[in-house]
Amino acid sequence: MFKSKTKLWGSKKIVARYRNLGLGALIVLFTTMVLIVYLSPFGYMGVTAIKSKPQITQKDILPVSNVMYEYTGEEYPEWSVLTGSKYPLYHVPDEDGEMHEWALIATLEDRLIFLDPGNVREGVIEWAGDRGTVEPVVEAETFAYVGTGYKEEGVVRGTPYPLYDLEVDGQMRRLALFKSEGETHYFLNPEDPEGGIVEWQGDIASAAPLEEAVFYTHRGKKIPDVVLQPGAQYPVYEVPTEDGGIQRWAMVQEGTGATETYFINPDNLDAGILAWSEQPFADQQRPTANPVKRFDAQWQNFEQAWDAINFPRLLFNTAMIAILGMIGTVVSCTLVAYAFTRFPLPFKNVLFMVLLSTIILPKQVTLVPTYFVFSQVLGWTGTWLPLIVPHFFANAYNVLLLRQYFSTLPIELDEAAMIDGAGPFRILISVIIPQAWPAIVAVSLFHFVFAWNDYFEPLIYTLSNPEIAPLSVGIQIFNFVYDQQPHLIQATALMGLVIPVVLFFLAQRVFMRGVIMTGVDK
Amino acid sequence: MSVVGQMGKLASGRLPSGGEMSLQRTRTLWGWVFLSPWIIGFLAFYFVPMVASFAFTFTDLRLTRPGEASFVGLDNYRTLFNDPYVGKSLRVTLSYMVIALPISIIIPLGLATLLNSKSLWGRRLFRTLFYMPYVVPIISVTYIFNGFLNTQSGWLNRFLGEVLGISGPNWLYSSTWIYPALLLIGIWGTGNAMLTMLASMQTIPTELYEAARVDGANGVTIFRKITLPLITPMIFYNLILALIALFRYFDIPYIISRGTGGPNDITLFYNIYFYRVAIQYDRMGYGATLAWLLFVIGLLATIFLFATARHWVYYAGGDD
Amino acid sequence: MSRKLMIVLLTIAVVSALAVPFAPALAQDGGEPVVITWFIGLGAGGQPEHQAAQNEIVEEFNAEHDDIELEIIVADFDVSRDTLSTLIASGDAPDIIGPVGIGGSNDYAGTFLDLQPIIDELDYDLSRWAPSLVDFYRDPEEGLTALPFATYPSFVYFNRDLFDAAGVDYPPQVYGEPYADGDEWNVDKLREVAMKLTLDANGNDATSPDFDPGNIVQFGYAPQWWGDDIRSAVTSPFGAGSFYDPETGNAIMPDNWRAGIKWLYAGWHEDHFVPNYDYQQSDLLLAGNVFNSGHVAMSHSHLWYTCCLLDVPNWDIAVPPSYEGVYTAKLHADTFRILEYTEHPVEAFQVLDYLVAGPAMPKLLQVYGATPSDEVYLQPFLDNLDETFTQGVNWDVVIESANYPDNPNHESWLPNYSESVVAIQNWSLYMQATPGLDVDAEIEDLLATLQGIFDAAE
Repeated sequence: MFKSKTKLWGSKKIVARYRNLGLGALIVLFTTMVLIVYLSPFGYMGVTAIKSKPQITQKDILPVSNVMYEYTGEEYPEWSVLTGSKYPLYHVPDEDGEMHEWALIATLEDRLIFLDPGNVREGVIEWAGDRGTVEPVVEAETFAYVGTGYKEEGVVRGTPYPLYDLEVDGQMRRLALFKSEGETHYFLNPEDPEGGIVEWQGDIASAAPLEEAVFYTHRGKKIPDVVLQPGAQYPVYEVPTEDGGIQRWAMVQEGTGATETYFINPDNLDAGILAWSEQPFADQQRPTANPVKRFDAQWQNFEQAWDAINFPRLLFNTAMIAILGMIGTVVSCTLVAYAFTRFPLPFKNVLFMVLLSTIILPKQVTLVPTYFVFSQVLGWTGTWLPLIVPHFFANAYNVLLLRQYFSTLPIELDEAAMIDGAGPFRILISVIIPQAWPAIVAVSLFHFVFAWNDYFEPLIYTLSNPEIAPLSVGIQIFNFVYDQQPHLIQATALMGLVIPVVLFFLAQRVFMRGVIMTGVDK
Repeated sequence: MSVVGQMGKLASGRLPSGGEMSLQRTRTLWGWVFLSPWIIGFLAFYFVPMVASFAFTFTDLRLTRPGEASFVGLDNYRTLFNDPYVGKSLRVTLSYMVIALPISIIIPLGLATLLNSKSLWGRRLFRTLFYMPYVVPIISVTYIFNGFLNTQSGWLNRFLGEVLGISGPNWLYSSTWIYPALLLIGIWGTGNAMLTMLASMQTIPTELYEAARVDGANGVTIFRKITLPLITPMIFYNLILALIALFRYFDIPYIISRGTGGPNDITLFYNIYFYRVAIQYDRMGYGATLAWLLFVIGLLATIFLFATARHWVYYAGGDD
Repeated sequence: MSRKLMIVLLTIAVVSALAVPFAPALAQDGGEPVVITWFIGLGAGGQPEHQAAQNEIVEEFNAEHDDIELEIIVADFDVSRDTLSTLIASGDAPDIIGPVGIGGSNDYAGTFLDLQPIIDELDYDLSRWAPSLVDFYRDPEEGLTALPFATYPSFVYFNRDLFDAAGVDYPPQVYGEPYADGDEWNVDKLREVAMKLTLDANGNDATSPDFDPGNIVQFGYAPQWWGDDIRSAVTSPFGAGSFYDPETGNAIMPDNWRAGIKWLYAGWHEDHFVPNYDYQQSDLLLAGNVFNSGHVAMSHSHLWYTCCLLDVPNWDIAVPPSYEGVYTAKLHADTFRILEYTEHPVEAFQVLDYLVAGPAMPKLLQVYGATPSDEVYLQPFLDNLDETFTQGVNWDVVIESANYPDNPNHESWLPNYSESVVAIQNWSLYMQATPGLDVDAEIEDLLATLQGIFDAAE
């Protein structure tokens, strides 16, 4: 452009150069802004790829996790009833001598702590009686037969039968008793249920029944409301102090507007549990303390996705399908486009329309007959052939592109070569292709990208042979309706982007190069 | 006709001499030779399925009961005429096309112009970055936009709300905003169009620009009188592709609307209706009829575009 | 090319093309092991853990059987119908499909093999299952089309941490038991409790006048993965029903469902204790996996949901609320089915037996999270779950919930099933996403649409 600045010299040249610089900077700035807006969803993709599922639900844009404090103090309180924990039941006499079945929560020096499963609302019972009078509640250990035999002998499938340790033929064995007739007892062997029935004569009282303790599982809320256990992790919050500073406290029990929130001060554990509403700086029920967060990207998402779908194999498959198809399409589409643009064919326009019509018809409707041809007639399902071979016979998109491009190439060069005695093939190779190189590279790239992301046809043709499936099919494993894994989908998509983008970057040099027209007479 | 055109006629074999016939036949034969890969492929992989699918339109075929199909004559066509959803979905497809077609040409054209500017540093990098979204697989794209455009947690609405203070609209489930939402997603897919137009711009001989500047033309005039006309073949290419793609528009609205065709059928694009009939209702006979109607309309539209091409598309090679 | 030749070629092509849809599949060679294809994708079976277990089972089966080779095809749920239909239509139909539920089976009704003749021929023992379970799969026209495999009772999952934070008592875990404050545990109580558990960004709950519906960070109740199907969302807790009255052939709206729809609609758009469409799809609620996001206090779902609940550490299960004194815990039932297109029914049945009654069964049930139909496996199955979920879940609720199934099942057949379901789904989504509607008027619209679809059925 500035070759014609032969007219400019001196100060005008310098001004022009600065203007050029300024213009360049402006354009770069503008383009960058457009790019940022254009790629903002990409940012969302990238950020999701390094989050875990709980992090995705948070409002923070970047993956963050709460900073945690590990409690190193004493267990508080001395005893607690935790939801979901099991406590053994005991027969306990109360003051009036009545026997109860209570769950033992804790054994202290001077007393025992019990909870009555039938009356949890009353709270725990502190019992200071004689420990000798307390007996564990036991029940028989059982074995249930799951086979379908022994019906005549009286074994009912699924019924739990009590286990006994008894001596049979001089050996101690553990057997399940299912029927007794006087002194004759019939057993099954849990270790070998189909091995037959064991008959035993004797007094069953001499056999030792197996017993196990019975537990109570606590289903209600934990008692008391705040329980501290050494080793437990609590999120750290920044709490404002009286003098306007900030302290870092650990929240041990979350509350809402209606309930209390409890903290402990890691620097002052002796102060015990601090209730928010009792603090001098609490101006409202809900704490205005903010959690302390740290950047916590889940880089292992990439590793997880890599392993889960065997990324290298999928990559190889995809590359193979793309490259082979690319070769086929470039060769065939060049030939076909050449035919359409340089030769007098009868009904050329009709033929061209027929070519285009192959992509206008929705592919769903031709899917079944096409699949039939590939599967029943050719037997190509489970291979790459249906995905590659058709491309060796040209397709409308690329023929259209090449046709457009060839049409812009002036016929003069063709004619010159013809006068020199070159045949049509020679002309194609030495005249057309060198000029159309950018378009040919473009076609290769387009096919490569298309094949890289095409998913429905590869899916249906590799169904019976998942080993050869490409990336776009493999990534579907993260998309099952139940338990979608958006972070893994994005991570895989990012990893799958790399190769086409790198290819594109490198290919630019070839097909972005402008063609300087020479040899054209003006 | 220009000298170029006359020379073109020469090359196409219409010599004004006695050797005309044999030369033409030779040329035609060569033409067939070069066309043969496509002919073979078409007959093998397309012709049979296309004719079969046309045959389906005369049956009541259900994909899951292939053996029970029977001939029903023109019943499906009668249903086609009386089906209100045909008109509805066609209207949706066409009205979206009216907005989307210009955008799918203008935006890539603008981007290509921007990236063609000689004053732009790091052009290769910029081009790659603008092309990148085109390479993202569709499953990922729908996840991204479902999240990005969500009314509550989507970045777009959060930006509008937190930075600009505007209450963002319901992009994905409002009759007013779903089309802009689909357009936004579509813009992400214009990488290819941008690329082809850029490539085309790059092939314009620099001498032309020089000559224009010598004559005193400014940037805008250069663009209008030189760049634009010379890249019309590429614009035409992208126009055809966009037209066909819009007729076939399916994946994105299907997933975004969870297969329902959007709030109140607003995204019931023709192809989604076809899919619903053929696969979800399992009525492939009627579905094939729908598909062929689309085919006829699409073909006519394409032919029409080709016919208008001679008025505005400039081919230096003098052919067609 | 001569014109005559072209015409001849064209005719051949057209004739052969017309024969394509009706050509039978090619016959198979004898002497080699019979290949049985097992198609997965209409329901569970897609997740990595499922696939690992399934592949293991296939290997073990093939090692044990010389004359049968079992193969698996897995298709993603989104395209599974597409894929299966294509396979069937092109003569490549699989032999066995599954696991597939009631709704999924309805989509393919009429294509299943009647197992009774094989059962009679092989003298197969059906007594391991309760007769009512077997009869569930009997159809007067189709015969016995499947064997009982898995049931998924449903109940209310609740997040203990969210209840603790809000200071609200846990819901009852025994059918018939009142709520902790003595009131009856019914839908009104659920609403009350859920509203206390629905919080906005400032900590106000849904009963407070300062509540900001545009900024909700926690919801009290959400049906989980209800399939955009209103039948699924209202059957529990409002009771069973059907849109179809077989006697009159009319589309009807049962009263309990009408009440349920109104309750749910108010929950979505007025009381805000149920997430509406925008919230459900947002990142806050993990785009639909709402309970696992940790921001929903109660969620009604089935036993199979244990597959996907791995990010909430402290959950337990409770009984659904009653409506007008009736408890309903809707049921999902999965099984495997043999397609009638199979060329090897006996071998396919052998595979079926292996899956539903053989060594594969406990393994599959474990990964799918399904209750065995065979009762003896129930307790070991539940004990196994305790190893994954160590917070002490009350599995008694699972066993009890099996006694309150919805009858008729919420996925049961409607005329022109596929079309009816699509219409119902469109309507359900529309209701969930659009505030300010007149619910009764919208119900009339739905019934009119359904009536048209029912009438058009052959």
